[in-house]
Amino acid sequence: MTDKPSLTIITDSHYFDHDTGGLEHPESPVRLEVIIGALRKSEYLKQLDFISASPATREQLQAAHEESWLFRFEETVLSGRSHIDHYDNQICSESYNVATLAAGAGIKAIDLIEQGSQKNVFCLVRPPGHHAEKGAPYGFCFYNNVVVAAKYWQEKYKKKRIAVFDFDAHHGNGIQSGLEQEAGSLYISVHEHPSFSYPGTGYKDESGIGEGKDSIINIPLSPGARDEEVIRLLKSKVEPVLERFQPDCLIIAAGFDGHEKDEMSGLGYSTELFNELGQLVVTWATKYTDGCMLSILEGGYELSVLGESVEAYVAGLLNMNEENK
Amino acid sequence: MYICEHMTSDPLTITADVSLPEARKLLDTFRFRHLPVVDAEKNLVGIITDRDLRSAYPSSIMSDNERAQGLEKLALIPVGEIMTADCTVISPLATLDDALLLFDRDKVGGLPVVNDEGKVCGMFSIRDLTAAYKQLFGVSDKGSVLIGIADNGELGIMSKIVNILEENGISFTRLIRMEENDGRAKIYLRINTFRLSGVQKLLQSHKLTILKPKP
Repeated sequence: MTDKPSLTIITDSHYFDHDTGGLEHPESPVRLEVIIGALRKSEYLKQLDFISASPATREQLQAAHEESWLFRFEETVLSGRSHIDHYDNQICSESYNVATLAAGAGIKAIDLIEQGSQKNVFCLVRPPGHHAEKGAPYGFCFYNNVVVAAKYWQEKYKKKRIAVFDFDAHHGNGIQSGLEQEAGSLYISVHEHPSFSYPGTGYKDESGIGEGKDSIINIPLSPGARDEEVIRLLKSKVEPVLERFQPDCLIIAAGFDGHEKDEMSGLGYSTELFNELGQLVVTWATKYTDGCMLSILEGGYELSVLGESVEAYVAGLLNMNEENK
Repeated sequence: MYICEHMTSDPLTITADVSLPEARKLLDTFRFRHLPVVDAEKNLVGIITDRDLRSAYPSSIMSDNERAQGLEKLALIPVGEIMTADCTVISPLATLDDALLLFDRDKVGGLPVVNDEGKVCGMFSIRDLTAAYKQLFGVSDKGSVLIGIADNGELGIMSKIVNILEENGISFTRLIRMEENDGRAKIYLRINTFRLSGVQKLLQSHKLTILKPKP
């Protein structure tokens, strides 16, 4: 055993079974291959504890999704169709089961955290989830893995004040719509401006509805935005909000498509930013949640940099950077 | 595109004999900013706004005594005395563009919608206009993204773009060509796909220039 910090990675070989029709589709199984490959070769490997996922139950899924969507998803997969609602949302015969397994990763992570066996867990899952709405798939996402986890944490462990921080290049419309009417949650998203970027939501003035007013903090970035701007905004806009909110738990929607080489966005992040983000979210967890936090993989599509980006984030979570290796 | 599709139908109206405090209470209760004033047959006779009422009420920097006297007098004043009688109106069959021009010309925030018989059948506010244009241009449509394309002057460029999209099964909802002040035109396209870079590459392969916003 090492006295260095450790991180539990929840992933599963079944995640490769969600076939989106080959490499022409950005959300391909190779994404996970390059991530796992990079971590296996990483100097931090000894600090990582890999475990497999368990599927979410129907009840756990229904905390975040309409039952009619569960039926429609399952029926469409069984019918053998190639996609649901839009060509973006490619499916195969295994997609329903794999999506259920992806949604279950966060549940397993929360159980581990609450049982005290691990404080910091990163779920490397696919398909991603943050675009999935209560009753419909969007942008490669079928179940909203983050919202399923947030609802579980709130219901099972009575941790009501959940903060979700989403640094994917795209706004997490599904997380927003899943949480925007609740006073007890906080969703913070830093993303490319919706006028230039999918899914066309995440304007600054979308701040929550009814009891959830002011529970949504959208920080749209101009195309080309770089590391310094992100860090400046996190320090000046996000940290005061977290300080006021005093979260009980922290979930990170970790997307890596803001990388300057990733063509799925126009943002200009370097690989090093993900290390800084990893370190920063750990300081938040240390301050507010006794070091407990859950990260769930969202986007990141440029295969040449995805592995190193996730590795940089993992190093950040382990509080490792060039200086303190 | 028609006002009747975007207005508030059968709006709350008042008659000219309603007192100013009563009118203010209605505006506060229902969080409206404009109230059409009508006669017994629902014919429009004027409009009263929250701004009219704020101007009529005694200033908060007056002494308590002066203010109390002012409020006492005000309670006796009917809406008809301070309303705008000759107000700008719009027809239910006018277009959003008509409303835009009226708002711009007359600097008002709301228009009573009046039918051919002169009766009030709706209210149309600037908020309704912005909501209608938001819908028209697909702003904030979930699952959509805007692409800018330089108009290179090529004959038939619009139909060329449509053909490329349709042949490749890319759904889109808006295609707009706008002349810019420098004489160059830009084309804006709202597509419904996450695979933005793929669409951009496809358009570029057909010698179209994608407009990249400058940071």
